Amino acid sequence: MTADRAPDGASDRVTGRATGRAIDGAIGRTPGRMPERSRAAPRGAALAAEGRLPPERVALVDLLDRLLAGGVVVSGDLVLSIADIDLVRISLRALIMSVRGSETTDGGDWDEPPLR
Amino acid sequence: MTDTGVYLYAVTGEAGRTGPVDLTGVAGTPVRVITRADLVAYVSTVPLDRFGEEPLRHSLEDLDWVEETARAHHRVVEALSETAPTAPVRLATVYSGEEQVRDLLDRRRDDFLVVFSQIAGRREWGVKAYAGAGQDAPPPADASADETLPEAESPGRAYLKRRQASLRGREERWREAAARAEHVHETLAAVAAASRLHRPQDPQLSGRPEWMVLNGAYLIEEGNEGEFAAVLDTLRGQGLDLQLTGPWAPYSFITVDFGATETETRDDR
Repeated sequence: MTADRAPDGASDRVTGRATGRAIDGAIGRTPGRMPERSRAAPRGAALAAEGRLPPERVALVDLLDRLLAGGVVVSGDLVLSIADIDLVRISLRALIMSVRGSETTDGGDWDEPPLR
Repeated sequence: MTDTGVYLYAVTGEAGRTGPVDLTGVAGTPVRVITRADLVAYVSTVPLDRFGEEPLRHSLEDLDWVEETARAHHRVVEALSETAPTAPVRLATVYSGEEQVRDLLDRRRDDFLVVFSQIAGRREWGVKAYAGAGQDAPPPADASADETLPEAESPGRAYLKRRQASLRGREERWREAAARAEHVHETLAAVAAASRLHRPQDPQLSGRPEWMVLNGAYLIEEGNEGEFAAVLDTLRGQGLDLQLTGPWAPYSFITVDFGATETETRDDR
């Protein structure tokens, strides 16, 4: 057998599903969002409806993209500083460890994404 | 007696906001306001045995804790952003006391006002693009071996050739997908007041086996959301699977870094 990576279809899809389950399971507890704003234009409302499907579930990974790399950074003002902690690295490591721990396939042979 | 800190969720621009807040924050703590002129900081008191610097390092390795805290933080920000220009603060920002927060509001008032002017009446939308079905992964090296293996070559040499061809094909698809993603991003960015690229999510985190080739955030005027939706529709069916998230509080567009020493450029182009 010369394949240098896991046979594609099956194991990758299994990985995807397993991952989805793990993440989904973590998402399920999301509190409901506020009702849509009524002043949104019809097209905007459709946009909101699509973006919010399912409305009360925000993927943790999407949330962490924003909470760990966005927002006001007040490191210079902090008495109690956590500015020197690499939040992204630490938390994503926790995420990955958690996902991997729930799988039997390794799923580790992913290429680098093209955009950085 | 446990030492406590003041956890800061967000700062909003609301004149005359006082009184109790019906919100629960991280670790189940009640949220309250600290008001200075037309700025309002939303905070809660947290125990430093969980939110002090050293405990935080450990807590951040605990996915359940991270999720619980992130969602609680997000819940507060979401509720606020429904009613006022809201500048979310980075997760797990803890002050030693209220006085430090008041000081922040006093000294950084102008900076916050600039932030509010940038985000007022605008909402953030996320668009993630995945390379489409059939491109979800490079072909296995032996996929077509049976029909194409040149008889005259040694197995080792044939393998190397297949491997090279496979890598070339993979690179080619990468380039195509990246070019499409770039086009999607530029087209959406043209409709947006601002845009930002987050790093593509690892397939293990996205829950999707396909390559994520775009993880963009777009700040859209509420009046332009229809146009944004229409443009997004025109970009579908062109080889990438586009997934929309939002609306979000404008997390990705708070560009002010009040820490003078470091700049967050990791996710920017």
